[in-house]
Amino acid sequence: MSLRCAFITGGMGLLGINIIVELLRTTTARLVVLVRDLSDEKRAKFMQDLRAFSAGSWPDGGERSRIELIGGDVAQPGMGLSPALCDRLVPEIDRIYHAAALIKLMGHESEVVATNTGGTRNLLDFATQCRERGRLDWVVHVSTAAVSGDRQGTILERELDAGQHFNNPYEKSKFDAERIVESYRAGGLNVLVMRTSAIVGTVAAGTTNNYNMFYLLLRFLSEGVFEHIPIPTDAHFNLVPVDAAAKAIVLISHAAHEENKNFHVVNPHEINVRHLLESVSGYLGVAKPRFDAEDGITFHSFEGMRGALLHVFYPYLTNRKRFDMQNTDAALNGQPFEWPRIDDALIRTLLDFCLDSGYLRRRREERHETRAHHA
Amino acid sequence: MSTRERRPAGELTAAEKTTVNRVLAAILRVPVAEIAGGNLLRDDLGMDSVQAIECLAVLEKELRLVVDPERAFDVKTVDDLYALLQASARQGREP
Repeated sequence: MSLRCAFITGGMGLLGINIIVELLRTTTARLVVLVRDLSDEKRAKFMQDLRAFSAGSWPDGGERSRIELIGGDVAQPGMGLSPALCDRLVPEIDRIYHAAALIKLMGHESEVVATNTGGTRNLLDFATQCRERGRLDWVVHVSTAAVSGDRQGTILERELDAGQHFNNPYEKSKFDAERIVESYRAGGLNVLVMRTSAIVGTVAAGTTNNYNMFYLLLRFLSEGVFEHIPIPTDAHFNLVPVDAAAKAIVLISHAAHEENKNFHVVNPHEINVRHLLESVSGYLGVAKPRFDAEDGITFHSFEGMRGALLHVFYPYLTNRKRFDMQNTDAALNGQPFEWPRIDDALIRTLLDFCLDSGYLRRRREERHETRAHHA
Repeated sequence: MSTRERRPAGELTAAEKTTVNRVLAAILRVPVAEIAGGNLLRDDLGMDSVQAIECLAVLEKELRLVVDPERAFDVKTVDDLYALLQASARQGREP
């Protein structure tokens, strides 16, 4: 069945807008996008981001006329949609891409739960109506590989609850959302779960509209606040450029035979954490942190504001888990898709975008400027 | 950053206050001259939550302090920031 009308949540977000770009590229479907704020300012920002991520693919703007922005909020009952709007949309929607999520590693627990867990339930209630009264084929639920929490070793796509603990309320909220997905699957709804690893900017230009997670770490590194982080030599980061993640998700979602499966949308090309931090520090002109455990210092020895920050990032800096990709590999087999390699060149592309946008500053230049000023 | 000997930070020296203002100005991208004790960090200087954490982490390192993260939420003005730093523990022995 060709896709005629897709409903997208989280369309203002980094992954959501790239899913929209990919759907514009690969389908002729009308795209109904749920956004919390329909102000002129936000509409303009949406169109600006759409142009940035589509890299000028549609100079006449014709493709953009396929997009309908509607106001609502997944965290609200019924997603805040009026009964009239709901009645209009329910029979039209073929597929739902649920990318709305609040990614906060620090605090904001009630907001995170309301959006990520409550929002998923509200969305699936709406999806159930679309299936029962309309022509919905399936829901694509964007999750995170971090639902595996503190597990180590190999994480299978089919697994969810293995008795793991969670490193922060965000991970728990997404785990709980997947438990809700399981209950709706049991009720007959077909839901494809896409668990992504850390999403970063685009391959070509490092473009991002969001500086969460990995970018916060870059920011604190750029300020040189971490002098010492004991990191195992074999710890690795799993980063997926957003254009690759969106393309993989949309390609998998078009495969009609994939019923109620989970997919690890993670990068088979990982990057060693020590190497990554050395590369970033070197490029930004800050002293690289010391990585060895010395004088009996452990993670728990760290305190103060920097200790609190390390508590947030440490589980990701010491990650040694691996993700099974059997379902993902099978769905992408034979498709025009390649996972981008996370090498120094790509890291520099990501950093250059951050430097150009003013999110990061290069410390070496600052010192040069200071010296020049004193001279 | 790690557990070491501690002593109360006490009154910030003039040089340390200069450091605080310089760090604030650099993170907030405003001229140092715009930093004044009564300034509201969020409303007057445009500080967001990430910048607040960043600022305290950098000052903790530069001034060799250990700042209580729980008390960071009480900081509303530049003077509050000075007070928090003065109430923090300083790393190392008495000089």
